[in-house]
Amino acid sequence: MSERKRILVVDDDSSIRITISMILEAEGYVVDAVETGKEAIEKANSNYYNLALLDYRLPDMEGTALLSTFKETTPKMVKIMVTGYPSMSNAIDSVNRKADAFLVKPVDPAVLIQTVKSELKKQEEAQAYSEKKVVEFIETRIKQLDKQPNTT
Amino acid sequence: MKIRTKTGLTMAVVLLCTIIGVYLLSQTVLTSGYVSLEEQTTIQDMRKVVSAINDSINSMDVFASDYAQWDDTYAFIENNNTAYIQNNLVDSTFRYSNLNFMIYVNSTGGIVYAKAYDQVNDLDLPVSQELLQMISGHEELWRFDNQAEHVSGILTLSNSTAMISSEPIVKSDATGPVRGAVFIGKYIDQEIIDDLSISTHLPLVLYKTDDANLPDDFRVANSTLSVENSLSAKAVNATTIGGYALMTDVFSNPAVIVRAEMPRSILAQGQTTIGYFLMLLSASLVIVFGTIMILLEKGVLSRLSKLSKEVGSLGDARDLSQLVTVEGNDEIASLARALNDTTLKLTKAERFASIGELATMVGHDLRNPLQGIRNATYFLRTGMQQVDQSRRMLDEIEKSIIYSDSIVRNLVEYSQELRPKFTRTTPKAIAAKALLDVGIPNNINVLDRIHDETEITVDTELFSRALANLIQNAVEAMPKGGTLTVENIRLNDNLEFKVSDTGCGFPEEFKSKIGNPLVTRKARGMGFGLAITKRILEAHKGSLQAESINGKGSTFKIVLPLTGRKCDKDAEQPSSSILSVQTPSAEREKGGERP
Repeated sequence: MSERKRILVVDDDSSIRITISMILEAEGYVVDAVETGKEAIEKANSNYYNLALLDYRLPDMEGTALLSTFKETTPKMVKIMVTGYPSMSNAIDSVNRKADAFLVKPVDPAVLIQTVKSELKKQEEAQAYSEKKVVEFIETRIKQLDKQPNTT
Repeated sequence: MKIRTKTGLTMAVVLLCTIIGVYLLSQTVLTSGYVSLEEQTTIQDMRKVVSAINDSINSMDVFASDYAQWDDTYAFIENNNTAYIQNNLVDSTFRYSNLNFMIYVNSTGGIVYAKAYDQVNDLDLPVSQELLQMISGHEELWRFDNQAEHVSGILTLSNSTAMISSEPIVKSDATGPVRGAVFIGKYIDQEIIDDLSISTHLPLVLYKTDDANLPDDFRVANSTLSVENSLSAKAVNATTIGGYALMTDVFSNPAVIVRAEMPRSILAQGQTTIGYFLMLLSASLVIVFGTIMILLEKGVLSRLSKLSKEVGSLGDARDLSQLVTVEGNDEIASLARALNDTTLKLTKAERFASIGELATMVGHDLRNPLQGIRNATYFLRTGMQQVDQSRRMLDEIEKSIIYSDSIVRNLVEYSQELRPKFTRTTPKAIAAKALLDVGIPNNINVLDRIHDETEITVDTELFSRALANLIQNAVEAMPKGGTLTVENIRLNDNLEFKVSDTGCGFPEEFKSKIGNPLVTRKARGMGFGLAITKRILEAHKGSLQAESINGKGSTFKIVLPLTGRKCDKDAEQPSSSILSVQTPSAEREKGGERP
């Protein structure tokens, strides 16, 4: 891993914020934890995060509303919904708002870490694929330019 | 309109309409029948009157025949001997036979003898020239070919009407040839009419058809009657009917109209009968409808009313043991039974729905501390942590356990009955205890304005708990700090406690739901705080009000009435549990465990 990945934890429960932060930090991530949706938006605007863990119910807004906001502002950030309300409508709502994963509390921290790792890997691969495509495009363009007779 | 009133009114209207209908029907059908019967009877009576007049004329025929069929008369018409006149045509002959004139006409129309007699004054009179001219002008009155022929009937003169009889003059052995006729007659005067009235038992009036002074009813009868249709009847007034008979003269021309007036006894009897019938019918209908109303009242209405009251109290009391009473085995009993079944099913369904809702809320609320504990144990199990990290994790485990415990305690507390124990205290003491019970963070500025030391009677534990819940909510509404104000005022026999915060406030639509369990605006918790507060206040006959200015804060107000509130032992009845879920453990822990 070339650099440490950054994770934003959004949960109104202080115990969850503290414990999940410590677990993820132990896994080598840089973790910021906030209580409200408003704080989460502020943090995401001022810092780059690879991934966000979002609680479904927040004091000031629904977690799904936060999903919509992040889809606009930070589309490449991985968004994982963690909810204590495991209903079908909540799951459908989350999927429609492009959540990358949907976990139900109390989630096994090992599963959570596994999900985080897997989603970050997908993100990394996607990023690598884009970079490769850019490199390929540039190389192809250079070759095309080389073949053309020098007009100058 | 109630069924009782509606049924009563409908029955009264039906009763009235039936009676009016039957009355009108009887008036049109039955009365017209009686009128028709009355007319027939009257016409029948008029036939008797005509028959009586004809009988009088027939008796004259017998008299005239006695004289005409006699050898002495047979000789007299030829020789006109005075002895015959002296022996037979004396005044007494006229008097006893009630005749007014006798005229002997020979076969050539010559008047052999003619005498008139005034029955009133017993005087001989000359025979009216008009009569003599009529006889000489009408030979059908006296010219007969054989002894079997004769003429009798009514003859009208200009000033009088007479009954006449003309018989052929033959020998005593009834052989001829016919030598003329004996023509006798009597004027139909008042005496004759009175005699006829007596014999027919009917008051008779007679007018010539060509009388210039014909009364109106005679004129009407005259215009409707004819030779072929000679009898009629017509009501004179409500109590009298007139019968009319048109009689022809000897020339078969309309001559006189006789009227007999009779009481309308048939109609009167008929109407009396209809009256009795209507009275009987009305009485019967009243009895029938009365019986129906009594049956309806006892069998249906009163029971429905009772059922309605019981159903009403079902909704108010929410007491599952108080179902509606089932009496008898009829449709209403079936309804009551069905109602009971449905109520039980609904209650069960409601209970399941409540349990479901509650389970969802408890499930979610417990998931957070469980997640915290699970995270901490996972972290501790990795063994990679430092000492201070382990301590922190253990702290989090403890916090989560305490929070889980509070969830369970709230649930148990809300579902059990409240039994307030009233003691004397002061608003100041209650506020001090409530503020002490709530851990106020440092960023909250507390303005305690309750200095009221007047005695009040409340359950100190419960009441301070209610106030503490409001204070706790106010503190939680200001996570970034603010000002908490607690104050009290006395207003119109009420004691008011106000708890204000400078938080975000709450939206208007939340106001109506305040105090309902499972309704909360917090991300954590199940909304039991205000629900418990509300129950405590209801146990004190008080109420909870809330005002909010969005973005500027909220004020929750406890209103406690100081009068009209029972604080004796009678009031220590358990208040009903709002939550319909009652676990057996909750029942066992009845008595109120203070968290």
